[in-house]
Amino acid sequence: MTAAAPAPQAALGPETPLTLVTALYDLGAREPARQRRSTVTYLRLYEYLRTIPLPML
Amino acid sequence: MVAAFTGVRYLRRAVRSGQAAALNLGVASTGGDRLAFLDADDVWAAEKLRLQGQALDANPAIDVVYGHMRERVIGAGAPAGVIARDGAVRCAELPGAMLIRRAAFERVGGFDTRFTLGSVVDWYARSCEAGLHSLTLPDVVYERRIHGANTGITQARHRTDYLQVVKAALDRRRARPADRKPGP
Repeated sequence: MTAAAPAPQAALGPETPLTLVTALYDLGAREPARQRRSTVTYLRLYEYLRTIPLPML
Repeated sequence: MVAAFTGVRYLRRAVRSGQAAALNLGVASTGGDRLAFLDADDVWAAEKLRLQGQALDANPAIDVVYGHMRERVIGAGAPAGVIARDGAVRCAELPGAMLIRRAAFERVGGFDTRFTLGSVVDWYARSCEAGLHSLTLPDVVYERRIHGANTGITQARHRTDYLQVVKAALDRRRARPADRKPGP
């Protein structure tokens, strides 16, 4: 059995500011690759970013 | 073909202007108090309008009702590099999956014609920012067909539109004083 890769935020550390780039990275890690390019992916990205306080973006 | 359907009007633009302009033209050409959208290559579920209409009837405070979509890979399917799974069901706040009160749509405004791709994501973002109240049904309300000639595939060079849409939403948040306060 292969160990699961650490979640991107855990790997980056909780103190790391979450930028649009890291948000994309995080999203890409959470969803199957097949979804990365779809319109729905960007709906989810928008909603994901809405949950993050602006000072962290 | 259109002539075979009672009550259907076919609108044709002199110049091909893209999805957003087509949707806006459709809205401007109608007078009903509820709006629904369907791309030429997609298919609504037979019960879509009835289910979503009932949801609006039963919930006066709800502005827009969404549903789920089922991906359908047809013909030769998606070209290499474009991944789709036949039969996959996903929640989709897309025009094809919604029924919206006209007044609510007009509060948000039309689809932004600056985007070749992503105008529907931009519209959804603006609808959230406008405070629209939504409801998502568990039902599959339409099938989105993947066939290799989808706009997202043929216009792939415009995919950066999507990120511009998301960045524009961030910029709008930053411009609102209430959102500039530090988080809890």
